[in-house]
Amino acid sequence: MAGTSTPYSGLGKPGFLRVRRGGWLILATVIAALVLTPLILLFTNLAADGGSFDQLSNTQLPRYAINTLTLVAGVGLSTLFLGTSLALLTSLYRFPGAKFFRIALLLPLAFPAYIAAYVYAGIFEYSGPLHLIGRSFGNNDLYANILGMPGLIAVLSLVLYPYVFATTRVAIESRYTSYLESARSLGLERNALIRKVLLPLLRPAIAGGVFLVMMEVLNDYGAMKYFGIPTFTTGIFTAWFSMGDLGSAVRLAMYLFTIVAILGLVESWYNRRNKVSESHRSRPLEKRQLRGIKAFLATSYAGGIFFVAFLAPVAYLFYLLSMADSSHALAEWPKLAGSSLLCALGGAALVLLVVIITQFVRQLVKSKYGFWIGKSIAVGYTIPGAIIAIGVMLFSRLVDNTFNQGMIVAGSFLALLFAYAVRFAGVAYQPLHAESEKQSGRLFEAGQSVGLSAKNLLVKIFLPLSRKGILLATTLVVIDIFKELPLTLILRPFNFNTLATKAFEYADDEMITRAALPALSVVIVGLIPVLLLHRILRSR
Amino acid sequence: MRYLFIAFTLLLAACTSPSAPEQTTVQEVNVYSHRHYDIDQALFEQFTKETGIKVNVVNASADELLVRMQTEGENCPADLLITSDAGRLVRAADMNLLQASNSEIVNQTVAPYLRSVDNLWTALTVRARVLAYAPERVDTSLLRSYEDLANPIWKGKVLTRTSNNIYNQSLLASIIANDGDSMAIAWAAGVKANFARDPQGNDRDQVKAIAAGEGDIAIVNTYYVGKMLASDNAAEREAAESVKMLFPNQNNRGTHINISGAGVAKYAPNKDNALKLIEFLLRKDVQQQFADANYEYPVNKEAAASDLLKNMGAFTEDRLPLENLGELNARSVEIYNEVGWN
Repeated sequence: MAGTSTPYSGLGKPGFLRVRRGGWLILATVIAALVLTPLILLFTNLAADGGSFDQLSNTQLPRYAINTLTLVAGVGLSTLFLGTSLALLTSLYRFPGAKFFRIALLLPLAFPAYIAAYVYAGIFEYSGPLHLIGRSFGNNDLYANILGMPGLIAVLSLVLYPYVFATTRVAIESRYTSYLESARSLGLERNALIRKVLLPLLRPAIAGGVFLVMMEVLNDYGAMKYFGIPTFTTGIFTAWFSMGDLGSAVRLAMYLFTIVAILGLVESWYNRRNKVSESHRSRPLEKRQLRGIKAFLATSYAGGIFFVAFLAPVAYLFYLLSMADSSHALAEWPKLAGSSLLCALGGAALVLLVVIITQFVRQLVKSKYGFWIGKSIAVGYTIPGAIIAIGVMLFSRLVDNTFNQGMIVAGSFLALLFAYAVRFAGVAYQPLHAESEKQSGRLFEAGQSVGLSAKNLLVKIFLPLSRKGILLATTLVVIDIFKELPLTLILRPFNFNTLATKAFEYADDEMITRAALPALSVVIVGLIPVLLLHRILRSR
Repeated sequence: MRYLFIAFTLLLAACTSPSAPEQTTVQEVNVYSHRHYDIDQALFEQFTKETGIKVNVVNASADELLVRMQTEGENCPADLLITSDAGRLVRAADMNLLQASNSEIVNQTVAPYLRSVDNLWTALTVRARVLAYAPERVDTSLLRSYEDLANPIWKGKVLTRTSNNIYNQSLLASIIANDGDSMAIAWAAGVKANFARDPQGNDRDQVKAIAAGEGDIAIVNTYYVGKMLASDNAAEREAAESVKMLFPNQNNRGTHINISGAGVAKYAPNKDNALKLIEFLLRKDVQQQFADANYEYPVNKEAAASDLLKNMGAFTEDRLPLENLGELNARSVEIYNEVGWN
């Protein structure tokens, strides 16, 4: 009978499914609310405070604005150039060392900006190694004061260009090649192909990388302070912490947030406009062998950047280490490294939990609401760490007071992990979102139509398909937490030190030789996730 | 599923491992400290050995610790707040984060201008803000006071860090207190006009800039020069040895000083232990180590300053009550902003 051929699920199941989906939607909503509450508390608290805005009137604001924009534009442009050129060079050409540089050029990612700031200033300063070498050859002028705006742009660019390098490399190697092949069949010669077809196709990936770089710049505090460049970020600290002027702090935070929002909108508009669909079937663009002077120039360029951005600073840290008495620090080392790992892994686990559930629900409900829930958790990435720390404190107090239990959450390790989730969910959002976009939903729908429960959809379809995205997200978050400073510094429980906080404390006390061991450890242990990142990128 | 499982396991492990200080009958004292020197840790351990009281520490910058104490409110576990300047202690008192504690030992050991009138906080060590200069390029007969730094003859010669720095803020506060507001504005503008370069770097960088010939006179704290003279780095020692130190205003009010200090937290759960720790840190033998390791001056006059500091010479210190510095701190930031001293 015709009636029996109607799927029996057509009547009963959808309603049932909706209920189940409803549960998941509530779960995602609760998670997003948890992540957003500290930020909401923060802004309502600050707004309620009102405060005068006289302090920051006419003298400070333009200076903050000009410095902030100069810095963002300067670092943005130079990482755009460095990252893109190095990615094109190592992915499209063969030259001595090319294979090595594909990994090596990612390594500066392990350098926290504040450590790099001290290191580069130290290399170039009077009585620094360069000066001493010069002096031994009778030249007493081989030193430079790099503190100031140009120096800061250079330092930040050297540690941040790998973001652009990585995103661009992935795009060149695994995508779009069918476009190239059809272009080639139309008779386009290779160089024209690269210029006219490949580069335009790479735009969204490059823009994504530069956007990440800009976010990192706006969140830096240590390097800006040491180099003496007042920006919106340092201004927030001065206003709030040094002057107790909450009103000014919230205004500055709003300006900063506006800049971030504009950058974010530009990026997503740009990427929508330039969106291209990928094809997986075609083979990658074959590499061309460089010879003679060209090969020499290519190796020198990649090698030069690798030397300046990684080898020289690491060598300098070893040089400092050789001068310092590190016996004390060495005894502490296992504990510090353990704490760092605990923060990184615990934080990453929480971040992934948040992002996986919200992204899964977005896929499950396929509504605007689900989309925005998924996106909203990423907002913490745009807010400086120290500000988030205060928000998390307010939230912990609220929780403690509600349950009337004294200090349970506040000042606990859990609060610190939660703060990482608020701050870094945005880092994991990008790769997971991209991955689940690619899933085209057909498998998902198939799963739904055969009546898989939501739990099974998650376990049997969503998670396996998002494997690479999850791995990439974990790696990025681990790298970030490993280097993280302000949140850990402000929120950590009693007697809790990490490699990063220890390195910062010594450097802050102007004892840079003592800072060498923990700083070097941050970088070297940080290499593990960076190398993992390389493998993930390669396999995509 | 495997990943989710791993994630959950890690999370669980992470949450259970490092626990907050246990709320049992164990004697303890909880310290929020801006000072994160190795010597502090060593002395805390000695305190524990002598008294059986465990010392728990959170280090962060004083500004952030104050916000943390304020946010934690009545639940705040801190017993003792230790900062490395008077300004933050005064602000903590203003924010109602400290409580009075009367101790005979503190009263007898610490000079009145080095502690709060209301017994809210006390100094533990003293550091002086002095002038380092290039002996072959500076005629010191023209450089006797902070006020002299504003003299146009030093145009292009003066080096200093940014006005973000609390020691620069309290120096200006002392000038407001001693010379008056309008003189202080003129001073800040005058010094700014004499800058050899935009303010940047830390105190050590200013000394190196003199050695490098970028400028001739730097405003620095004594203990940074002490640390440079004892540095692991030979080149840094050499730079520090090439400059000389000058204690300003010896003919009138004395050289501006600041302190490391401590106050008992308002909601301290272990108030008695906090006081014990303060008294311990003021004891003669402890003061000796406390001050020595960091090239600071002891507040306990029975303890001697380190040889290195003694070599810099004795000096008269400005006895302006440190309380006044804290009160004028906000005004000094305003003035720096007004004259455009970064």
